[in-house]
Amino acid sequence: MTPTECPREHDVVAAILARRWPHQCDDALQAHATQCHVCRDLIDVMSLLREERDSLHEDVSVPAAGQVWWRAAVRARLEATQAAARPLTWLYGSAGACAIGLAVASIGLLWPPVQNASAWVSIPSWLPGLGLREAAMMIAPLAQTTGLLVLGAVACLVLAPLALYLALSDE
Amino acid sequence: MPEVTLTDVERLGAFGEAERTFLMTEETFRTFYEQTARPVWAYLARTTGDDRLADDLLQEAYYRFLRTRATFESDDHRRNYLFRIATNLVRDHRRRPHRDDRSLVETPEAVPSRADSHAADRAVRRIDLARALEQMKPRERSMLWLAYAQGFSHEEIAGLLGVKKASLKALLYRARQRLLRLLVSPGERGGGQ
Repeated sequence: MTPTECPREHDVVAAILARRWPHQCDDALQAHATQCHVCRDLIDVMSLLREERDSLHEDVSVPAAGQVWWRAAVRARLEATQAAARPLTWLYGSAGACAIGLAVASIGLLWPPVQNASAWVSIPSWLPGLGLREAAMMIAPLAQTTGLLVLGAVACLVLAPLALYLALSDE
Repeated sequence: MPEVTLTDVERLGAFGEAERTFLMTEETFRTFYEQTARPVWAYLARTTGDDRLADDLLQEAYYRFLRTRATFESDDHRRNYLFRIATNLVRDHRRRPHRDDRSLVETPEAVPSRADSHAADRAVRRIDLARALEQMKPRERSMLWLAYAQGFSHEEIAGLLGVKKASLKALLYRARQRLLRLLVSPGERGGGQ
């Protein structure tokens, strides 16, 4: 079985990192590296990666420290301002949703065509049996009012998250 | 959310306020940045395969670093923390869907136009390396870069990447072998991201 580790691996790594490889390290290590396939592969990979690293360090022009600091400071300030504005946004969103819900409920209660439509829907003529139809007629006014209030509440429940989503979404 | 913007006066105020917001002073940050910016950029560039993305992630990494409330025992600890942030940013970026995936192969821009043979050989080696790295698993790329380009210890790499120190040696060996295979036969696929 081919060995995957070498006890001198660490020495080779240290020599390359310290830029002592190959000329300034001891002969024994150099001799070992020519014989050991683990160390040989390690040297190949490390040489490539170190060369790449050095090239990148030479080529790259990173932004100035002051610029990075400045951007970070402005962003921190902006985020703090946004965080401070967030409770107000929630408040506006909730108030808007409640207002829409109340408006829907009021329209339903006060506008006769809607009441008539809901009455027509709530007492269907095809209800079988006289007793059942009379009972339905007795509870109909209550059901209409409650139904419209429920409709308002449902509108409020549905619209509130929607309003909040629209208010809080970034895009 | 309604867009919150800062006035010029607020921007100037932010500059003065930064030292209260961040644990680090600007002077300390400058020193730290000068020591770490290039290595972190190189790490980001070679693990994402995208120089422009590395520019963005570099700014983000330092912002997150400045916002942290963590305290550091040593300069190495501080540097490792920054690399950990960079590693997490790369990981997060990989998980997001991308519309504009740029290839690693474009990155070595140092190909000289009137190159001598040595520079040309070097440029070719860099392109080959970029292509090979592109085909490796992101974790393998990070491991190899941290261990052999940056010279991080096994303990540091294990902490940064969240792998067991005991298994790191074997993982590094496999990653080395894979890189060498890819350099010899660039068409080899499988096991990539």
